[in-house]
Amino acid sequence: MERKLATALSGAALLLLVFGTSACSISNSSETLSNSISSPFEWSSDSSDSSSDSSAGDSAYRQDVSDYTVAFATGDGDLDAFRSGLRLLSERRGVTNWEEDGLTLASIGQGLNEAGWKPDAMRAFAQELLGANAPGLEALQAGYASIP
Amino acid sequence: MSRRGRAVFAAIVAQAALCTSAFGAADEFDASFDYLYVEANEGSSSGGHTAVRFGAQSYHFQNRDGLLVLDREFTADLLHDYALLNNRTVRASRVALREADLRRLHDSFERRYHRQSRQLEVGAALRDDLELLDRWREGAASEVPGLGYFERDGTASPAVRALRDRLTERYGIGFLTRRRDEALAQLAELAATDPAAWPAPPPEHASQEPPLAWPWARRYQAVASSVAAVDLLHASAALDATTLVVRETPSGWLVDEELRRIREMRARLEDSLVRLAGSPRSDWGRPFLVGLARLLALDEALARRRLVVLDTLPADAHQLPYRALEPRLERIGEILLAGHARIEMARRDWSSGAPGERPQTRLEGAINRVHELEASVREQRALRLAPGNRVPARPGPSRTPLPKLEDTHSIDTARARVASRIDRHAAAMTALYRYHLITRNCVSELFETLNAGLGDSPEEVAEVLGGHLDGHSEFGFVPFVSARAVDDRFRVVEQRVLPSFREMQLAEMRRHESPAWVALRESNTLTARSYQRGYRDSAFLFFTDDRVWLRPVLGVANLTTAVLESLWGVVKLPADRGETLRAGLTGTLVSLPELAFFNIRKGSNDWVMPSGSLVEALDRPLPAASADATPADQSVETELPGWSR
Repeated sequence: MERKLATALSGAALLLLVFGTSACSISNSSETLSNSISSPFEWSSDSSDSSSDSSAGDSAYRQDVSDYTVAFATGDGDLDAFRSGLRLLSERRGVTNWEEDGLTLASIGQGLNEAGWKPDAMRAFAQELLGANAPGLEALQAGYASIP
Repeated sequence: MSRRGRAVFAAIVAQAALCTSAFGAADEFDASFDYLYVEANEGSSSGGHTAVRFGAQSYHFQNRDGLLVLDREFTADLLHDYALLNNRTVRASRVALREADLRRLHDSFERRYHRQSRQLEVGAALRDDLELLDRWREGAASEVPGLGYFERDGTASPAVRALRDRLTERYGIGFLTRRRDEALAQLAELAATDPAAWPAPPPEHASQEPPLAWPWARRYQAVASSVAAVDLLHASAALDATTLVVRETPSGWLVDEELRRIREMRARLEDSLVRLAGSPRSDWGRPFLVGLARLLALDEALARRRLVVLDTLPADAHQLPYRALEPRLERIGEILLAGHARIEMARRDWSSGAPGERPQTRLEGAINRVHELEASVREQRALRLAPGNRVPARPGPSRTPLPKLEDTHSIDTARARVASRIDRHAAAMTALYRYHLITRNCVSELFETLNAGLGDSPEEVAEVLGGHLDGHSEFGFVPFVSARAVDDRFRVVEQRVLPSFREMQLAEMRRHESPAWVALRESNTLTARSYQRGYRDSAFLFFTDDRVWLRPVLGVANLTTAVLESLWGVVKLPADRGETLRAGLTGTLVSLPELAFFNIRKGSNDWVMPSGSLVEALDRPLPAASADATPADQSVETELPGWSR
């Protein structure tokens, strides 16, 4: 039985090789008519009736920003570099001005907490990051406090 | 899509086997993930494909320009892409494990995804450096994202002037000039800086985190946008009306309640622009330009009482030629209907006063895509495609000359250094991630990431998953072999099959018509109602995915069809730039395996309405399996919401 299976598999593998087929998907999703109206992302996940998918989108973004913040907080990059990376992340999420986006700011706060920053250091950093943006400072600190 | 096709939408999740193995009985395994095997089709993964699913998110490796890149997608999108658009059956094997181990695995994929994304981003930033130097060398003005929405000359905008006055009132006289001077000084410093000085070491291993840095050209462009923003405020520049998309249809009319909401939005947006101008960040200009353009678009909406948004489609978007649309006008009518529904959904969200920028971005995206498709059909021109979230970023040339390197020799020297960095980085990325059919493909990397997340020790991995696989040995690099190995070795507690879209349609047809008649009619591309040739499909006559023993015979017919199309393609070569010839040759290639009982091609669909029900169907509890149950006995049917209108 095993020998038969092995022979069949060998044949299949040889076919793959001989005909030059590619195991694995080639990323070219922008070339479909389906994308003329909207990407699958927007249809099925970002704005579907399913609140669980929408919440998964927020959750993934929160994780991305928080992970990026941890990388910054435990590395030696400067604040401008951090802001530059935030811009890229938030634009992919459809946000151009992350300083006004509560989810982004709360996620930064979470990342600082995960990186082990003390409250004083967090507050000083938030001040340097956001200046006098009071609602922004509040959102960042709330994100920090959301992790026990 | 035919009327018949529209009526047929039932997802049938067949329970191929419900294993109640010794593993499944153990309560300690309180979590699970799915190993997804996607059957082959011609085109993007003709050898099949694999992915790992953690709930709403899935991870899979794709071949992107020769590099094997880990992509993270919503499971709903992945299933829509493969099962619906690409007519591929998806088989899910549910692997049980402990919750803590599941987190380790998920983290392993997340880490790899983030690190590789950042490594790729460094490569993109290096290429931006080269592009900026090339623009300087050509003597071209700096392009500033967002500036393209404004008129260069013409009448002043009272709204912009009012905002400028508000900024002066808030931050004092001379504030804007000081910000501009600071930005110009930064640009002068940047122009004198070595573009190859920012840290961008070629990655040595996949887990290497690139240093956090603000790349040279991106920094330059960001600061340049701040200069542009102040210039624009000083000139009180008006919005360029040609960059607006206006819904002139009756449905674009705004009711009083919406107008009231827009006024509130406008006030909030203006407040945020005032805060942004005073922000300590030096890249405040770019979001400011976009925000200001949106503010003026809201003014237009108020003045016209119509939905008005910015044109967000980039000029260099990938284009679908009109000749690809023409044979699909019936399908496009359906897409537009769905698009209009999408606009209404986004509009409700937008006008409900939901906080944040995303409702605005979603509305812009929905309107832009419908508008583009309508214009493309009306004007019989190519269609610009722009998937994903698109924030407005139309670039425009800087109004004032900005500091830059003037000396050609200095530019060439800098250019050579940057080019060398690009080469080194690209070589390192290739060494780390180059796709290889056998040694590094979507299967081998998936198992490498799984194993890395569990400590790499075969014993430890086996303890967690029930077995150890490396994606290399025993033909484990072949996707369908890997799926079988997962079923055999891992702690698989459930297996489910999500049929392809064509299979779903056939099953529904068989419920209402004679199965023999359906089989006959749907066996070929000439009479099938479940299939309309997809834009990228090759030429073929018979479906062979469900007729194993007839494959060689049908394969000969398919081969003949493809060869004839190739010959026709040679004749049409000057007229269609080889598209027919390409389809014919591809058809020939994927017909050959059919002669040896091997099916690759399933046909694809240009458009299928997505549905989150696919994921729900995968997760719905199955009825308890009786001892003599067959897969057909245990099928579960699910209506796909949003499909039938």
